[in-house]
Order: sequence, then structure tokens, then C-alpha cells
Amino acid sequence: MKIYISGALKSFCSRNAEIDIQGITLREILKSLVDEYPESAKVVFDGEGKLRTFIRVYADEDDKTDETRWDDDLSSYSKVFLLPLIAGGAPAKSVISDERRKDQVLDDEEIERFSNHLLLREIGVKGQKKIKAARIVVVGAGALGSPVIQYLAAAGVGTLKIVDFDEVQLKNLQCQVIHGLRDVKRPKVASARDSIRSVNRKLNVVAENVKLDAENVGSVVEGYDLVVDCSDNYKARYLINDACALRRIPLVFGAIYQYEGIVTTLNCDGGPCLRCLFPNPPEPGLVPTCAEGGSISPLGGIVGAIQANEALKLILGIGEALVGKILRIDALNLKFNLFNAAKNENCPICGFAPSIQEVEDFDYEEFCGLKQEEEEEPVERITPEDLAARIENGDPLTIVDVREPHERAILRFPGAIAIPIGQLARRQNELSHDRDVVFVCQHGQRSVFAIRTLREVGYQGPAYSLLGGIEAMKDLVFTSEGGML
Amino acid sequence: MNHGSFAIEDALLTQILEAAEKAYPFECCGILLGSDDGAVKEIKEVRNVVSGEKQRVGFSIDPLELYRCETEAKKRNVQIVGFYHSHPDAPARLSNEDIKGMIPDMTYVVVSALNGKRSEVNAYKIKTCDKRRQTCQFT
Repeated sequence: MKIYISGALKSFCSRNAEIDIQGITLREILKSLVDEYPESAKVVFDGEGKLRTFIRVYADEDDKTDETRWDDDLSSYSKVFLLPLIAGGAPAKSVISDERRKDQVLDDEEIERFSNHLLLREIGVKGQKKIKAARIVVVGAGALGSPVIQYLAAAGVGTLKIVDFDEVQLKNLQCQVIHGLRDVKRPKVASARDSIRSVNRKLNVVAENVKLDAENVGSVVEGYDLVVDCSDNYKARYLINDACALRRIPLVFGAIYQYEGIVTTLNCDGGPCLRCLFPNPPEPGLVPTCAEGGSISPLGGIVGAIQANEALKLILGIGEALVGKILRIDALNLKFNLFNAAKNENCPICGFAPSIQEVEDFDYEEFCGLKQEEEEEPVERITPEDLAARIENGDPLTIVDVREPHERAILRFPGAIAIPIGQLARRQNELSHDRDVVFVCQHGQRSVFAIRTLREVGYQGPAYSLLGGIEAMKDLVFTSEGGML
Repeated sequence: MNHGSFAIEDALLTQILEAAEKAYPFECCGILLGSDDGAVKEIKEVRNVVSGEKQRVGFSIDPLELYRCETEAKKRNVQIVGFYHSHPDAPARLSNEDIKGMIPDMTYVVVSALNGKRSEVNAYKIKTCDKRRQTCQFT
């Protein structure tokens, strides 16, 4: 049988456009082809032995591409063709419809305010109206949320919803540049709202002082065009992803840790969602949060500014979005890498046969180790109040601080011996079995993990985990009894 | 990311841009014919065989038409070196679908037609069948 291979496929094949190959059925012909010209296997098949998606096989005028036709007797045909299928689709358009754009009007003040946007060919008046029509949710008003909220507000995004449940703390001011000294102890959402209102009074700002859970996450994102995830924990990230994936709301994801950041755009233009990339959150205790691991001050600005830029591009439908790509930023060596991130067709939420149909009552906190009750063997707890009382009474206690040296340097627990988790098993002999041993860490998660680790290696002594960690203890003891510091 | 170079004569590029404007609001598509080194010598417009309204957001070239075009080209001593298509009211960048169908070493010219007028043009190429993508662009 004569087989014709299109020149468009020549990069794999020898130059012979037409070759004679033994075989009656297509299956036999393809096999002989690969046997005779081993390099052609790369043309025809992908890594999994499937016919490449861009190849069509014809016997004369009949399409035989589908594998169900591969055993047809082809002896009555004169030639087999391996031809490329050249096809494609349009890239994602603006998430703002023309109707909504047309409803917007720019007044004189806005023409002046946004003149730098109006000068750009890709934006212009039309684009600025899209930005004005846009409704964006920013989850988290911290290191990432600060620049995202500020830039989106400055760019003229019509409606911005800010979601956070925390209050501003002094230590936040190192990187959360939307807040000021006067905002300490105020809700972050209120501080952020006031800050951007001072830039543009016309903005419609919705401040939601709420902690996300499976119940409320849907109503938080419902009716919005785009969500920017600036949260700092896995629970929130998976809740937001699931809620957005189910509603097909594009999601600009960002995360930072120490000197490293990542940005990607999810649920957009047929690209992946967070669960395509990471089906489940990491094991509890495996990944410290930014609050525990720290981060260099401008990193949130770098990553957040890129998130804001991505969000605006999606609103405008211009440029190349980080769809199917993860941008990794190494601020220490100033390296930017782009990784491909494919959509997973078996994704539990956005694949062909999704198993997740709604944001489930799946216990994220338990999964992420944020929950205070344990599902494994129970660990005894001690409340900050009880511990304070016992210290005051002078009870014989051993306090073990399992945090890392850099964390202890910030706030030392008085009288505690320091044994980082990694050294516990080896150093268990330092712990007396006659005295109660209280394990402390920053938030009361790793101390539970520490006790379990010790129990696993056979430690029998009385062990307690400080509930809520040093964070919970510090307002109680360290501030009222300053001497302990 | 390495940026290769891609050369095309103004007159040929103009042909592509005109085709994009003419086809608006639908996608146009065609074949780039050229010499061994990939330099484009001719443009061959082909029918977009995607059905009806879907031509606004997609294109497809009939493989048999491509074969006939290739056979004709051989007589003039040129061969397929790439393809072009337009994106009506969308940027001149590859969509995910475009990338999925890309054949290594072929040049893909994408034209943006905004409101029926030519806007931006880019050319792209992937080197091997693995996922690493190399793009070459010109203005």
C-alpha cells in the first residue's frame, strides 16, 4: 500500500513523501511503517501510544482516523494519507460583555484620571469602561491583597469586594502596605476600604469581615466577574477554588513564602483549576504558612502587582494570561520561571466527570491541620490560662518550644527549652517523665504534631500541647506580666 | 524563552491581513508555502471548514484540501512551512486550542482583527513534541 505523509509532518519523518508499506488494514500499515521507519513513531503516536491529535488518516477520500476503522480492509483503496489537521480556536475574550461595557459612561474627571489607560491602544475608552463595569473579589487584605486592592482601585475597577477576617497587627505593617499605624487593631477590610476610598471616592467597595467556610464562600463570589486569591492558607484557597470552579469564575491565584512567590490564572479559557494542579491540600504540618515562615517585605508587592495585572488583562481581554502556566518568582536570586500546568481531564471538580458538584462540607480545617480536635489518638491540651496559673504557682513544669530558631528569635517563651520538631525523637531523653511537659509552638498545631511524633517513638511521659500556641498566650501573659518577656 | 526570527515579505503579510479583514467577523485561515529554510514565498487561502457561527471563534482546514494544496505546491517547488489564521476581536496570541494542535517546526501566524480592522500580528513555532514551547514573534 502506498502511504503519503504530508510535508507538514516532515520534522519527524524522512523526506520521502510517499512510501510503500506492507499491510491490508490501517493497524498493520501503521505497524509496518513504525517498524520500517522507527523515527516515524514520533510522528504518528504520542507518549501514550495514541494517535496524535493533529493527525488525520485517510484511505483515499475516506476518513479512517478513528481507531474503530483501523481494522477495515483497505485493499480496494489506492493510497493511505497521513495528513495534519490544522485547527484552532479563539483565545478568551474579556470577561465583561459588550452590553455591560456600553452601560458605562466616563465623566470628565475620569477621562483625566485614567488618561494613561486611554492612551493605550489595547485599553482606550472601551477598555476603561470594561474596567469600570468590572466586579472583582479580593480575598485577603494582607501582603498580596494590599497591592492587588490598591492597583485595582487605582485602575478604576468599579466594584471591589474585600474579604478578610483579621485585624491589623503591628507586624503586618512590614509588608501589608495598605494599612497604617492608625489601623492597628482595626479590621483589615475596614482599613483597606478607607485606604482606597481616599484614592477614589467613586469606587463601590464592599468590605466583608468574614472567615470563609463551605457555607458562605458561594455567596461571597456569586455575581462577580473575577476573584483574586490573596489568602494565606490552604483552607481558604481550596474553598475559593471550588466555589469559582463550580461557577466558572476566573481566579487569579497568588502565594508567597519567604523569598518565593507563584502566580497563575485558574478556571479560565479551558485552563486548569487549583485541583487540576494539586488535587488536595498538603498534609497538616507539612507546609508552614507565611505567618510562620516569614517573607521578605517587597515580595507581596511583586506577586500582588502581577496578580492585579493579570486581573486587568482578563477584564480587558488583552495580552497573554497565565492560563495553564505557573509563574514562579525567586526574589532572592531574582529568577522568574514559567512552568506549564495542564488541565487534568480527571479533575474532581472541573474534569469530564466531576465528583464534586458543590462546595462540599468537606472538613478543610481538619484536612489542613487547623482544627483543634484531632482525629488520631488524642493529645492532651492545656489552655493558656491554666498554663499561666501553673507557671505562677511555681508548679514543676518542663516547657518545650518546638519552633524554629528564627521564630524564637522574635518572641521567646520564658523558661522554655528549645527542641525543634526534627530533633525531638533524638532528644527525648532530655524530657523528664516525672514532670508535666508542655509543648508550645506558634499556633498550637505543630505542638500536637510534636507530641504525636514523640508518642510514635515510644515516649510515655505526661505531655500537653498549648492550646492556640504562643499567639494565644502572648496577650494573656506576656502583656499583663511584662516581666516574663 | 528563545525568540527565533521569522521573515515574511510585506506584500505577503498584507495578503494575510486583508484576508483577516475580509473574513471578519469570522476567522480566516490559510497555508504558508515556502522554501526548505522556512522562508515564506506564497500564501494560499483555504476554506474555514468549521460550521456556521462557530467560525467566529474557531477554524479548521480540511486535511484533503491541504493535501491537494501540497501537491500543487510541489509543482512550483514550494512546500508547506506554516499556517495562518485570524482572531476576530481577540488578541493575536495562541489560544489553548491553537497550542494543542500545533505541529513542531511549522510557523503559525496569528492576526488580530479588531472591529474588522487589522491590528496585531504574531508568529509562533514549537520545536518538539514535548510541552516546551518556543515562540518567535515579529511586528
